[in-house]
Amino acid sequence: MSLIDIFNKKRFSFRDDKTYLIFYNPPHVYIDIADNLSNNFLLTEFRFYTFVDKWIVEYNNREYEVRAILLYYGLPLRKHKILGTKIPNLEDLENSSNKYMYYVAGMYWLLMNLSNVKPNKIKKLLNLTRKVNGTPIKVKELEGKNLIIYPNISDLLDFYNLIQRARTANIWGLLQLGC
Amino acid sequence: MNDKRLLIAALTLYLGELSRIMNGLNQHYLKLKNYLNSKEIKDEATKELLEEVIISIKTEIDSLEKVYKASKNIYKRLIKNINSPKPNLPTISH
Repeated sequence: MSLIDIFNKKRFSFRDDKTYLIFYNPPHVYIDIADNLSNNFLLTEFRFYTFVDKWIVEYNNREYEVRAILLYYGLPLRKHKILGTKIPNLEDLENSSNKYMYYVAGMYWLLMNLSNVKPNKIKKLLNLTRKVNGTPIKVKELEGKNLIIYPNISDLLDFYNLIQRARTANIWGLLQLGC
Repeated sequence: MNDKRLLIAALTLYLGELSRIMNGLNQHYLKLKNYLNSKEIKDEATKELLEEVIISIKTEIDSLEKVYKASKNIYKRLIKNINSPKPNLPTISH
């Protein structure tokens, strides 16, 4: 455990009125507050509120029930399948025959559904596929699951750039750039 | 640069950009189609999610293609027009 982890561990406390982010990059799981300065964009720009579920976390040998958004390598997942929708969820991920392909499908679905999000924020979201900060934690519902994959961030970023260019390509704008 | 030449220059850049976007999206479209047709996917949830994404990308490509064709027609007409000799304008005599 690094010094930063120890520092975070000392400071971390759970509150009923807070929403948390569970960064799930198996086998690592970290938790952080959702509406702090570095994570707030996920709520305000990405509107991930719709992915809030109740999760049981274990911290300092105590169990807490928290309201949190689960991010699986940056992909928000609902805990259970919601009938009549295709919203990515942990249940479908677990039952999928190929976890990587379910993740890719979920990320493309997410990127298609995002609009007016600045590219640097997308990059920030996609960076969560590689590195996450927060307090190491155990999540009861995730224990014993084998969901390790190796996402390809450049492919997803390329796709998002193309979608944005497709939606904003402007003949006179290009001329200005060309000049 | 007169207006027609300016429009031709803009259309040239625009057509190039549309073409690059369509090619790029088409590569992602084909990759996802391959995933969908692969034997590795056996569950309905992944198939449904992939199908939805594939349909959305196809819609995006089709829409770009329509804009591309329309823009190319304008471009061709402008080129034809600019290359044809100018008609003799009537002169005013005093």
